[in-house]
Amino acid sequence: MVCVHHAQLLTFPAHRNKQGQTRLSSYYEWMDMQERVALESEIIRKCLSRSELQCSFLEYRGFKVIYRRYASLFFIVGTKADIDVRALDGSGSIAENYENELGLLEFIHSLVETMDRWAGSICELDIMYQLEQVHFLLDEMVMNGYIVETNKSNILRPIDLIDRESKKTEGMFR
Amino acid sequence: MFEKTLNDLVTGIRAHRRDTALYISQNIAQIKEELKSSDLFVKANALEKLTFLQMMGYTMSWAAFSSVEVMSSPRFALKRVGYLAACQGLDQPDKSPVVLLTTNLLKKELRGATVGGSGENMYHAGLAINALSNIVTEDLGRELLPELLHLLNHPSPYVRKKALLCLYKVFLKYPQGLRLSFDKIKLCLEDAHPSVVSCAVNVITELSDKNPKNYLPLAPEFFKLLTSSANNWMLIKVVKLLGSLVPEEPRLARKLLEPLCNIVRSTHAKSLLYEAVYAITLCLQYVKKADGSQPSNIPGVVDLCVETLKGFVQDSDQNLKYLGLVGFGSLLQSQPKVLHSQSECKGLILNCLSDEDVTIRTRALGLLKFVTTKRNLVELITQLLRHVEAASGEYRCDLVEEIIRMCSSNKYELIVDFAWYVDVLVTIAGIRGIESQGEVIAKQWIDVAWRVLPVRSYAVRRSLEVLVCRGPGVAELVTDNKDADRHFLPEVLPAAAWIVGEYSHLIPEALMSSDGDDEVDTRYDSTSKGPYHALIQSMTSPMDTAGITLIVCNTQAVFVQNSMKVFAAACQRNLQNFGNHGMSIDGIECSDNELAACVDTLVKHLEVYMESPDVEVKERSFTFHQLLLSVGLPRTSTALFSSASLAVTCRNASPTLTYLLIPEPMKPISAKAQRRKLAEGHPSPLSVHEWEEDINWQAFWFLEDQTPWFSQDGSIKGTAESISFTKQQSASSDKISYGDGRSTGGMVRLRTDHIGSPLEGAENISFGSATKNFYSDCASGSSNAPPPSTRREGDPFYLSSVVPSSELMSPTQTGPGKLPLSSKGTKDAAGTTASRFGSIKLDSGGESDEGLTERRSDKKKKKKSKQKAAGVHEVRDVSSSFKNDFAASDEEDDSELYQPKRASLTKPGRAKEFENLALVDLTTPLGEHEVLPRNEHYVVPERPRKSEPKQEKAKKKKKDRKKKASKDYRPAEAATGDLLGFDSLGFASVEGTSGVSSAAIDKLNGCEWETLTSPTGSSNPINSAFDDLLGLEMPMESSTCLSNSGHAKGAIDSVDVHVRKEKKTKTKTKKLKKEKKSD
Repeated sequence: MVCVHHAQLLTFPAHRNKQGQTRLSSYYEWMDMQERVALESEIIRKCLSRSELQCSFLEYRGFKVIYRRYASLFFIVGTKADIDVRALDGSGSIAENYENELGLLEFIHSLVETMDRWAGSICELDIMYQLEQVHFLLDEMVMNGYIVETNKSNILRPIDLIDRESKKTEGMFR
Repeated sequence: MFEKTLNDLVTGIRAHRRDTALYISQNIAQIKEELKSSDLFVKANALEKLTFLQMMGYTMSWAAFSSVEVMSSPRFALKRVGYLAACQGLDQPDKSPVVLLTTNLLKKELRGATVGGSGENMYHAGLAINALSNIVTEDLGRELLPELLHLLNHPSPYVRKKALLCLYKVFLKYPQGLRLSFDKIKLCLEDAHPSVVSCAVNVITELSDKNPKNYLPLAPEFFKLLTSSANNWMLIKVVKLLGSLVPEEPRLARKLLEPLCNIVRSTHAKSLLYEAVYAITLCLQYVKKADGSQPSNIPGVVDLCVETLKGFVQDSDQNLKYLGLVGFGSLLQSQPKVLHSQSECKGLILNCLSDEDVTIRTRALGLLKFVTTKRNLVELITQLLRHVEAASGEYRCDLVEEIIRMCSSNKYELIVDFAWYVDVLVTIAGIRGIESQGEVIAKQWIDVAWRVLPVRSYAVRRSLEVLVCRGPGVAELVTDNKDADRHFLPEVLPAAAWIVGEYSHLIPEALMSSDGDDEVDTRYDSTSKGPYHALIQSMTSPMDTAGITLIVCNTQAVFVQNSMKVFAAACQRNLQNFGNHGMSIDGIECSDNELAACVDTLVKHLEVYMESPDVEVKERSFTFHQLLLSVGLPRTSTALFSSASLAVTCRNASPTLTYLLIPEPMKPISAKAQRRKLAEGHPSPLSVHEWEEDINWQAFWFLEDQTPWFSQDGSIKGTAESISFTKQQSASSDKISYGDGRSTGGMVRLRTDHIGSPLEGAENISFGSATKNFYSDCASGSSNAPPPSTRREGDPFYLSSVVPSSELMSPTQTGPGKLPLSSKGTKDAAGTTASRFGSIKLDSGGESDEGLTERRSDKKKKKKSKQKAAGVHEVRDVSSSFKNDFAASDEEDDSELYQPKRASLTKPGRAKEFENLALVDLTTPLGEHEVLPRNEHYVVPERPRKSEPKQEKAKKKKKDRKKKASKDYRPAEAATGDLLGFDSLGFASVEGTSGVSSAAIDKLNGCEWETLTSPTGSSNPINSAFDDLLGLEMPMESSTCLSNSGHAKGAIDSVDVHVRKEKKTKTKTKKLKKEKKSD
């Protein structure tokens, strides 16, 4: 499962597999470790219990959770929830910015496509074994919670560069 | 030794499925060892593993220092690992001291991007920016803001956009920086590279979320972007931003409608489409012109929205369906009536209620209140009730909440038939799993019962059913299907009990109205003798239905009180039948047998309650028990008495019981009258003595001989001082055993809290004004009050129902058993006896509106006069409690009924974090004192320049000293030194470069310079060690400073920098002097 935690946009991206283990998570807002573990397991439990027919949005503990499932991997993005319509009495709502849900779904897809292009067909093990690179890739796309780049070639350029460089200079270590 | 790599760790974890935790803890121990290594590769490897474990939920804040070490590696591959570990694993940045250590490192990296120009430096800077955005603190932000701003001019868009986004995070921690740098951010909106513009929009959108006013001047630029840009990602943001500006500048709303509609019509991207529609719905709330008229194009726009949203809801994609519902929710805020004409949409929303996805159901539920009308309410609620059956968990509560909100909204404006609503409430009360709603249901129940006169008897009947059905009943014997609905929410039981007790005179009527076919089963259990008895049985049984769980004490207290009321009503009933009242109702009159059974049950159960650990229950039951004894009923067993003789006793006691227990119906006071009353201020003081004249002494016939200080006509013999407790006890102990002080208190408070705390809301409604309708002599005192009938009609308190019942509406419902009493003359007597009790002031004292207050106080008084010495202070308590009652008008009560509980959710906890940012005002121009904080060398004026080489030496020595002092950090420090390649740089170049820098700056100020480190860093030995090392890069720093922030104006500086500088200077000079001496 991929979990993008994004304070403003993505509160946490997390990849999780079907058993609910986190494979990659990145939080853009500080969160206590215990709280984090609890939140992750709660959310993945909720996601797993939902069928294909249900919509990809969840509202949970003040977060809006947007998830998408690719084979056995869940890509989950949490972002701050919009205002609850029922809490408003029509007296004047505050326009609060929240992220466009469909946009985030697009983002997840773009993330997956980028990963695919980088590692062939991405799978759970790829993410686990190359955790650091995946993080780098994610950081290229999302910067402190904002989508900063969606162009695949732009994202992969530094990674390719690094790969080439490291092959050239230090075959012994990497 | 070969360390495990991340891959080994992952494989290992997968291999140890059974004892994963053990395996991981072993590995963490290993990692700790590896982190002690001096080899950076080993460290980086260990960190990488740790980062993986951190993701699995193991904390890694203890490895923070190692991350910083690895971060400073010159090798990009290792550096990445270090930065990643720092971003992921640092403890809360504000609290972590390690963050300070990164200051200079980050600064170096950020500056590195500007020199050289090769690609690699750019990525180094990117890494640093990314890390900074994750770990930024206020200090870090202040230190690095100039560098970040400088990067906004970097030739590569890659760096520009990263720096731009990072700025937002910096502003969060260091809000002052926003004012200083906003101009630069604005410039980025015109950047050549679209992705940078997009990032700028992102940042401004977030900033404007905190304080939209600041960004109104930018509206034209965004408007331009909105109409010209083709980048959907950015358009979404722009639309959002403009939407958030609309509440600040309503004129913008009308301007936006047209371009937004264009987007809706033209775009193919669903996300943008949705965003635009949502923004339109926001704008629609503000489109009203100053003269209140709507622009002419509004209907078209609304139609467009409805069509689009309908398309979303109809879509087979659940995501779109959800968004459609959310959009409708926003649209209906401004156009609440729009769905009334769209029957198709109504159907769609209702369909969503049966969707299998709970998120969608909840959203659809929120919209329901907009589609309900008087006509379809019944149908809708019936449908919802069916959903309640099927629902589970929180959604079930949501449903019930929504049902009640729909029905009660706007003072029940949608409800036509209140009897139906009572049925709905009873049905809901029988549903399991909605405990959180119990209180609301109870309040509704009571509210309907006392505000809707025509259904009052029906409400009594349903309450009676609820109470009686609780019992083991006949159902247990017959075992029919009744068991299923035996469950009732515990919160509604007191409400039911209160209704039955308060309107106990309606019991016969309520039972009569059942038309044969659905005969109420009024048997509590097989021994029940009649409805009254069954009620008393039900309400005095301390156990619940199954006899297992105890009823909560609050409920018990309410039960005890109301069982007595019912008993009083039962006695009165018989009296009526005996008298010439004529209305003899078959099967409902209270037979001698039933009455005797009531007495039996009451006496038996009250004794049980007297042992209750709860004070309230104990007190009430004790009081009532004593009351029963005092009117001549037997102490324990009724077996020795024939039922007939018991019944006679009861009937004789009826006036007393009625007088004490059956209350005047509560009456509303119009809001106006209440306000007038409050405006009058404190009423004139009354004395306790005045009330004595109003007391119906005939009700206390049995007290005649035992209260020697009262004469027959009710006046007091002697004064309060002459009453002695001991005497009282001895005199009355044979028949009324006021054995202790507790009973005294109990009697006094007999009528104050007739209903328990769960129903506090019930007490908030004021009452009393109408009392004067029944006591004409009292009414004559206040001529300005309208006649009773007109009052009733004009009073917003009462609600009408389709069931017309003129008989019920008539004010004669107080029942013939009432004994008239008069409040006349209370005023006249004012002051005459005031001296006797000092100045007891009763806030509630007044003439007409407080009729009931007086009456109630009368009762207090009555009892008080029996034990006067005990209760002087009690009067004050009572009066203050009444004052509270009067303070709340019924309007207020209404509006408070359903405050949505969710309100708290809309303001999440992190809002506080943004407070500072919201306070920043960008509309005023920058003042002279507001300049960017700059890192400067500070001046040591008295030192000649030639000592510079010595100074370097001194630093070196200082460092050595500190190394010795802090052994803990020693290995780390050594490693850092290695990382930075300190040795390779050599001293010659150090001296050379610093010489250049100082020479250059000398031209400006003619002084000598030194490095200034981060303010807090100076206290940290390690950090200053870093300073020495990193200070070597200074020439570049000074040059950036010069180009960046206008060094020539260096004389002006922010105050705190000055202070810091001075401090630093002092310590430095001291040290330097020491050095001199040693030299």
